[in-house]
Amino acid sequence: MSDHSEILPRRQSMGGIADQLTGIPLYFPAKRRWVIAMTFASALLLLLMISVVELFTRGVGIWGINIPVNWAFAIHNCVWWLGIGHAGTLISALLLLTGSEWRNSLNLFAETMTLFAVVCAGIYPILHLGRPWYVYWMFPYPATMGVWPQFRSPLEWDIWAVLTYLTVSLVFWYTGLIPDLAAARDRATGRRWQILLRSAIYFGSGSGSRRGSARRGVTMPPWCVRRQPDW
Amino acid sequence: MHATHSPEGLNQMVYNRCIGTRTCSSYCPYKMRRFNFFDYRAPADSPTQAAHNPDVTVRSRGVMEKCTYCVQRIEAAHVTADKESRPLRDGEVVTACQQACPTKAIVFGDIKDPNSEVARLKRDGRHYVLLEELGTRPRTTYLARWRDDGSGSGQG
Repeated sequence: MSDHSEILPRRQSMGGIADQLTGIPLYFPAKRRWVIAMTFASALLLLLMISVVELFTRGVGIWGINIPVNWAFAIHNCVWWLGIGHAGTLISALLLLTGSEWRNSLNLFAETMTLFAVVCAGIYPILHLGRPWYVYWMFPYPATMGVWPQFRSPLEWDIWAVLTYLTVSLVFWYTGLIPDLAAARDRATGRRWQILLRSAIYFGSGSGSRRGSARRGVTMPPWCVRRQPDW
Repeated sequence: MHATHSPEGLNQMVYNRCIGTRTCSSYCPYKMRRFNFFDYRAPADSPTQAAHNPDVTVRSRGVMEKCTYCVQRIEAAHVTADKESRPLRDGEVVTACQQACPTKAIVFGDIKDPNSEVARLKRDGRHYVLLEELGTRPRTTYLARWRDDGSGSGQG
């Protein structure tokens, strides 16, 4: 395997760029900016929490919805996040389909966006219920009362759609993350981190064999293929 | 979440099972369902209210509801009839809206009994069914309004 890639600058070795990448989470370069962004995001999260408390205390009527348009605000909030999630999947899929070799970092970013957007969308089927404390009735569990989900209800579909989307996105995201986990593993100094990262990679490589992964050259950036499993 | 029809044809709801997805209302072709967007019980299920209104469960927040055709009055009439070992008489059950209507526009009864007042009116030429073309077969149907032709004869 060549030590250089066609998409990297000539002077940049693959190990060098892996060093740069792992350096970002390990030796955080922009603490101040991160704190500012995090403060702003936390303020929005706090607003959400206050709104949710208000919602659970008083009921879905606080949205000003009424008969016959009784979803309105509720439905567009969920679909808003699903839309953001779909954008991530679309970016990732288009880059794969066009065979863009440089896609890995962008794909991972897009898929992370998808994952978090789906998590956001996933809380809405709970928030939308008139009696959210019964949300577990939407799962087909063997209840002694004989309660069974109403599969003709779109809110029921939301639950399954979101769970499916979450599972698939998680698999996509994780697959793309393996090379980065490998790069981090190679630079991990603590024994615990080494074991943890190794397990995380082992989990994703299926049989755990050194060879035979057809995906190796496709999903993983070249600098990681070089340092692939040495267990 | 769980709606069904009684043997008498009432579209019934099990309020305890409603989690308030509002799907039934969204699907309802007549948009007749109403939702408890807030907790309208004030004070919630007070003993006084329960004493004055023992037959009707007051629905809590987050539960859908609709006209029950005064099921509590139907049941009370059934109890009376059973005690006297006789079938229900036509007109024995008077719904609240029927009782309150100043022009006596509402008639309630057994639509399967051809001799009942309501069945007689359903055979009337003015009788029509809202959204009949959808095949919803609603229990509540209507009579077209009279239009005075101005002749003063009193005939339409």
